[in-house]
Amino acid sequence: MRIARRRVPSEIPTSSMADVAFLLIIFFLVASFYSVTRGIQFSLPRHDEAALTAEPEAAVLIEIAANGALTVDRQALGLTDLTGYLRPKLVRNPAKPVILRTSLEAPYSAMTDVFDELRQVGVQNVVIPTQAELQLYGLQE
Amino acid sequence: MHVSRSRQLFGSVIPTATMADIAFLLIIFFMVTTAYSLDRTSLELPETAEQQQAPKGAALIVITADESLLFSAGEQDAEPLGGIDDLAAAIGAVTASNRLHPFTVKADRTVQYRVIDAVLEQLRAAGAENVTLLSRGERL
Repeated sequence: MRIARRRVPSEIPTSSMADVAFLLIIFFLVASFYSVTRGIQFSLPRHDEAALTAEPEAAVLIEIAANGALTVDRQALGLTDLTGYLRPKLVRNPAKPVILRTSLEAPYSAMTDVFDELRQVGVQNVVIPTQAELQLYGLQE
Repeated sequence: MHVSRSRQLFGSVIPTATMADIAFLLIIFFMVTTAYSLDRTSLELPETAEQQQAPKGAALIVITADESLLFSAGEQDAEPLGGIDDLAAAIGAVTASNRLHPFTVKADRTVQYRVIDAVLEQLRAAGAENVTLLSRGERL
């Protein structure tokens, strides 16, 4: 008796694999878009006595009041005027330290706004002293 | 005169095997570059124009609007802490094994600077150097 053999196609169906792959791509694309992993980076120096106790003309002192008002080298200045004030100083000395002192009652965003402005102007040496550091060097008012 | 036309039969299959290769390459790319959030606390982050990518695997310190603290060493989800002393111990444990371990601070924009100052002091005391303050891109 002759047994009829069924022919099995030799191709592996791969069309659905691409569908699954594209679904996975979309998942990772969306996941990478929604994760917030960006921000402003800075280095916390070990107690930077040199910058903190620098002569007034050697460093720029920016103070942020509780209401977010700025005082730059003891004179009131707006956030928009900060670039104009700092740029000539940075042209003369690109490594000029800028000390950023924020009132403990000020909102966090007031500090990040100024810090962002400093980064945009191109300040390389931003010093953010903590209260403990200011007390250590007797600089707290 | 009768002209016999030989008709060539074209296969009707579109070759899709290479498409899967490309797709898998893209998957690997996105898998490597995607950083999963260690914390899903809804916060109003400060807005900054200057933005840099936070290092992958960085320890995360979360400060919510009601000034409660959460911490993750970089691998597991962020867990709530009792207070600033617990944070000091957690930061110390991370820097003890690797002093150059990066830290990320995710804080609500309305938080008083007093809390940020306390956190920065703990980071400084523990010898941490590389800190990123998470922010949202400024809308122009």
